[in-house]
Amino acid sequence: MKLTRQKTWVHKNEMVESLVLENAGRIRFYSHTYMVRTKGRSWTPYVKWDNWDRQPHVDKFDGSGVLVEQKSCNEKNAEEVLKLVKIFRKNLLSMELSQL
Amino acid sequence: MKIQIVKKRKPADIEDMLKVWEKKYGSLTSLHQKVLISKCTSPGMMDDYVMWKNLADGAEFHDIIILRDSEIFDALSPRRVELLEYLMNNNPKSIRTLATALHRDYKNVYDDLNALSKYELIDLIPQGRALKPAAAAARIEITFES
Repeated sequence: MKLTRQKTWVHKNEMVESLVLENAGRIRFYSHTYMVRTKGRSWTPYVKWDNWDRQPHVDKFDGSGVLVEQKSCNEKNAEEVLKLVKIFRKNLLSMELSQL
Repeated sequence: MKIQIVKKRKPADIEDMLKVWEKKYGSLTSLHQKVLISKCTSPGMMDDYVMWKNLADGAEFHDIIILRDSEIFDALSPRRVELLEYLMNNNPKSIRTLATALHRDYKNVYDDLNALSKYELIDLIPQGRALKPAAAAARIEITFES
């Protein structure tokens, strides 16, 4: 098993944290979380793509970390998520997940 | 431009991570139960469970930090890069020892270390009342992207 944690800073107080578990080259689990650092230096998740229970989906949280929306979606890798975050980061909280 | 930092992870670091989760959640079984109940409402818990379970089972661990945004490069002033380079090759006991070795003012070194630790480029390890600075990176790669 190979576990990779990758933290990508996309802006001063914003990052995408990816966790990928691979076995013999096949991805068993992934999660990519776009997070924003608040004033208290703690990180709040805004949008998370993962395949928990082998069901690829995306979750949206409000500004305080409470889950507000969930939709199934295609599997995403870190690069795809980073592209989406770069394009939509300023509007992610107000967007509907179907737009992602 | 992309700066990729591959972090050093020794077996002792993994042990420390396991201890932190044990203290936070009790046991792996209890965390698993919590994840099954809360599912996606606690995103951090799910990731902690996957990491804890697989690291305890001996999974190979790669810990990487990528800096892409140009504003972040402010954190890497020439003085701070010098600090990073020094920490990659030396093992100072404290911030004061480091400041003396570099012939720099203690406060400036302290501020630079704080800025670098914000991006997890260095670790500040508590040792008694002092903080021991240590390089977190095993390798730093710079790539120019089109």
